[in-house]
Amino acid sequence: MSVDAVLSIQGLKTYFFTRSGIARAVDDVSLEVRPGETLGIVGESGSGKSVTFLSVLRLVPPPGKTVSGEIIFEGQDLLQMPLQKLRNIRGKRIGIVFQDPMTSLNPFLRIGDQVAETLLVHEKISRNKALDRAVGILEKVGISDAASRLEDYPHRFSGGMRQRVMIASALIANPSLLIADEPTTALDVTIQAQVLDLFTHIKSEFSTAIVLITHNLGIVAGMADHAAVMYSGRVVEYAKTTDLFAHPRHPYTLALLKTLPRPGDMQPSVQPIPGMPPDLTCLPRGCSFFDRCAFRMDRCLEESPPLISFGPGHQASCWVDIEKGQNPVSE
Amino acid sequence: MMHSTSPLLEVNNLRVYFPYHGKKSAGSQREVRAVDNLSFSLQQGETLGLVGESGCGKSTLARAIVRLFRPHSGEILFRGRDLAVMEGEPLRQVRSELQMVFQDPYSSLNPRMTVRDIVAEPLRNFGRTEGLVVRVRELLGTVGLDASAMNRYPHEFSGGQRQRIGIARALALNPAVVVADEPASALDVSVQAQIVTLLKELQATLRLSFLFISHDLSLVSLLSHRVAVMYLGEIVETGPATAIFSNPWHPYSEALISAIPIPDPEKERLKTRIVLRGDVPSPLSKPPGCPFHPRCPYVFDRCRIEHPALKAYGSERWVSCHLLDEPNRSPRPASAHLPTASL
Repeated sequence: MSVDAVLSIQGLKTYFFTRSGIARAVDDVSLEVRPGETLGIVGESGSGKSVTFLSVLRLVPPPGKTVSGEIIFEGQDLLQMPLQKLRNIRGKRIGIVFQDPMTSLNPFLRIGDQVAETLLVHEKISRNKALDRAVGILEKVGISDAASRLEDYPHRFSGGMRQRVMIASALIANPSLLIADEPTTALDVTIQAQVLDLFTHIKSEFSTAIVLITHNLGIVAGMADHAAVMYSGRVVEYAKTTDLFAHPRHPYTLALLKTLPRPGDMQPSVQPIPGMPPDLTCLPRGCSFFDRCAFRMDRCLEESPPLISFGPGHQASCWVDIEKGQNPVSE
Repeated sequence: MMHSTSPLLEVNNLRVYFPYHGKKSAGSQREVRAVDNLSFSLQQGETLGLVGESGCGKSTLARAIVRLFRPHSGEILFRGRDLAVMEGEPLRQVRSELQMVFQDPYSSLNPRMTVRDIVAEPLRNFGRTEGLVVRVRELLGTVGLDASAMNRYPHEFSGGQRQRIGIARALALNPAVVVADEPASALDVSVQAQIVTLLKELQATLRLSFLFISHDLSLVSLLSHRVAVMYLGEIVETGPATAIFSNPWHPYSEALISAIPIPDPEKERLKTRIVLRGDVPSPLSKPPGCPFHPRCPYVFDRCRIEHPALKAYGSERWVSCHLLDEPNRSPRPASAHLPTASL
């Protein structure tokens, strides 16, 4: 673990204690985010990508519970910290943007007050000064004539504009880390393009580290410096984004890339991944991708592979070196 | 109108308006023009992809075609008969040939019915009860589900499996046309690919015609022979899928295609994404002239006044844009190798 990371997650385990058993939603995840970098977290529903970062903020809803691990943010372990102290970090040092801009803004609060709230909670500042800064940040995220819109309620704003408001309130206290959980999933394509454009701009202007959680590999390709692929509660591959796309090392990453159509190909085609992700309440002893894997071998059934280094900064949890041309299993 | 052979389904000048009773603001109409003077055709065994953003009228169009809505005016010709004016028993009979697959596999299956009853329901409705169980088993096999699924309930299945059940139900009556409204949007990427592959296989074996509606252009590019791009209830461009994706002529198609994030870091970072200003206007107060002009990067005076007609360029490409008539005007869509009009 390097000392200079903004956020360093070590051996995080968050389980959900449900009536039908213990669901290992996050199972031994270790990740690092460096200052100013954008880390993309990719995975399908239930892979644990959101729960990992809810755990970082200790916002996991019951019956979920973080059972072990360390989350070091700016030198302090967030899991050991008294809740009162953590509240000074949430929203101030770590900003959050959730998926659905329709439900994450309070419909009864004026836009200006919602954006300024972060400052009023965390800083000794008058309401008027906080609103002044809200105007500044709203204009930076592309709300034109922001001063005249402070008094508006969220329903007057479109989906794309609400997401800009969310981003503004996440950035207003100048956090060193911004967690964005599927920030464009609820938006239309052309509005998604606007919000992605805004993120590119934030990267260059605010030098905030960004964790971008998404199921869309295209967005990761465009935005992230590093990317982690998650599957059934684990990080199965971590690499520089360019390496991940050019030389995927985990069979799941490889398969995921093949499920994606590339518009503009003359004969676009995809290869679906057979089967579906395993039930998190009864994970297999060996590799959890075994049933769907094209490269599986006997060892995978018995032993779950750890993250293995495949070159500088490139790790994958797979016993097989898929680039060395081991034959895919024939059915 | 677009083909010499007579199409299976032909929609002419269709309008679906919804009355609006709310507060009237200046310049707003008395109705929501969800589908506004729209025409297209669908051949047997063909997939037409309908793309557009929320509120462009694509779902309304889908529902109007299977006559869940009654259109305001226009024709929906299926095998030469006009569905738009049909009622009662004849309409019911025709519907057996036009089936629908819905977006949400969680709410479109009755949770209190077994899979057997869900898939058998259309057969029972049309009195085709002979060999019912055999037919249900066969249908489940067609969509890749095991016969053991029959006695189970929808909640026992994953999203992808439920969508397969929905597809089996749509196929039960041997329809000629399947209208699929965002059939993969609620699913994870790896499962999306499974459903799209299934639809492709079904088309090849059953000679089905698909009207495939999606906001996801990359899915549309996988499945469609032809594409129609919709904006505010109108088709702004239609033509062969490969041609439109590689060289869109309408500025809206161009922006839409450039907005798809490409899963390839080198290409994605090099490409110039066209970012449109603002949001889609409300269909309650459509802008005068070209409906796209307030967001168009190439707008000029004529666009603000005159509504461009959907004009043919060559035999298979139709575009409604004034730019294409003004070869000397610049700037223009960067990728357009401009065609010459032939009316």
